[in-house]
Amino acid sequence: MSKVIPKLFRINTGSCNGCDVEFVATAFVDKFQLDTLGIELVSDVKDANLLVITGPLSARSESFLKNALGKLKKPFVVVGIGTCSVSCGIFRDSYAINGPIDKFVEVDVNIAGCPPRPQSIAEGIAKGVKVLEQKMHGEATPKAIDTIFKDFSAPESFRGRMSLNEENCTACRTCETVCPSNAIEISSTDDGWFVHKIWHNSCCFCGNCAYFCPTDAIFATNSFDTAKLQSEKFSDVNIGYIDYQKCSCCGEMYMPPSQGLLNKSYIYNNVSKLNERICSKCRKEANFKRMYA
Amino acid sequence: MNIEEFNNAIKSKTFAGYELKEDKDSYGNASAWIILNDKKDIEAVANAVKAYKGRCIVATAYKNHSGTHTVIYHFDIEGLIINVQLETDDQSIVSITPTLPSANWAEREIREMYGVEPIGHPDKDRLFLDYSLAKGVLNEYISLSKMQLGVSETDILWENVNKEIKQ
Repeated sequence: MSKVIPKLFRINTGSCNGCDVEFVATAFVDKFQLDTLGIELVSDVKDANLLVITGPLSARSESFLKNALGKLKKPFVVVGIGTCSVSCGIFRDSYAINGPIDKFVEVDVNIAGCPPRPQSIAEGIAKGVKVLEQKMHGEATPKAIDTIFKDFSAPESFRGRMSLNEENCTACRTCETVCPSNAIEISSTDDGWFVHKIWHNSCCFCGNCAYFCPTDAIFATNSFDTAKLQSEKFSDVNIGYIDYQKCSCCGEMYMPPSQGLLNKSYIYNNVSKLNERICSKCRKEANFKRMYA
Repeated sequence: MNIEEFNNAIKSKTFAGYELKEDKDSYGNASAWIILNDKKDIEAVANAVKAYKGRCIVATAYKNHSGTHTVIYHFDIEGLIINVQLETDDQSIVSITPTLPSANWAEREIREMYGVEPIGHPDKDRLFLDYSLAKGVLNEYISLSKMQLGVSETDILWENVNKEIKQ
């Protein structure tokens, strides 16, 4: 098999420049080894077969994108950087936005994040090169590609994807309310469950949800590997189930307080045990008896 | 130029009378507050400002709880600030742009943001809002939390996600 030389051209379709800054950092820092992938940066879109797009595609930049797409060498691969390439991010639903870009071109790899970490960008471009190789050799586009860069850990102070501890969550909806990127949804089911979803492709890692969560149920992890193939576009969701419980005293279904909250409220172990699996009404009675009986 | 002189200049010209308050800021700069009884008198004030070679700095507006609008013009004559307040209950004011061209953008802004029509304004075009947005967007109540968080009003995003979710 002949070696493929990926020639990269970058277009900004109305990005806030956050992704562009991270992309430049990625290209310059040796650690991410973009040169080992054999990528060549070209100044003319006619020579390019690896198109990197940032931004949500504003109405004004639509014609520029279409023009560039017509000039690309074939076959080519499109890599979208940033949450905007998936869903237009915070710019979605605006009258000035015609995106996301996959309305106009077949995107191969999305690198979510607002903005994505350099590691994630390097990963996404490496995946794009793999797809390009397969396209060049006439193979079908793969459904999934293994993570290429294994080292995705970050220092502790960095925020990555959010995760949920179902045991601590009481479905109070604080996280949903304070999320600026609409990445959290809490819905109830008919049979007494709450479903807590965090959509990583919209999350901007701001950590507001974790900061405001009264029971420490939602927390930031160190992981931020967000580069996905287009076929996995809407699948990157963390789903947690929060259950109703049956009161051991009166037998009615109720939403239990989280163990974390109980431990905070009742510092003596025997009291905390007293309140286990009891609805708020029975708990009030039990505590009243304990105090005054 | 002082407040008394300006007061004398508009006293005989205005039709329904006004209330005049004088003020001084911490640096000793004088300013005047004129509250008009009739919104049409703004023309007389504008003519007086023009006669003294003054200009309109900016005009501001707000919607009152009763549904009426208050518009305040801020004029400058040789460093003296004259603030003229008027009320309108039919969402229209008399445009002073033909007299003072410096009020042009301010009046158009009031038209777009509050839906208050400056009658006699020479320019009918929008200043900055897209035509798909209704006039008077600032008359709508938007809660601070919604404004700060910028959370989308539609659920299109989550509908797409929930459709494609692999559980």
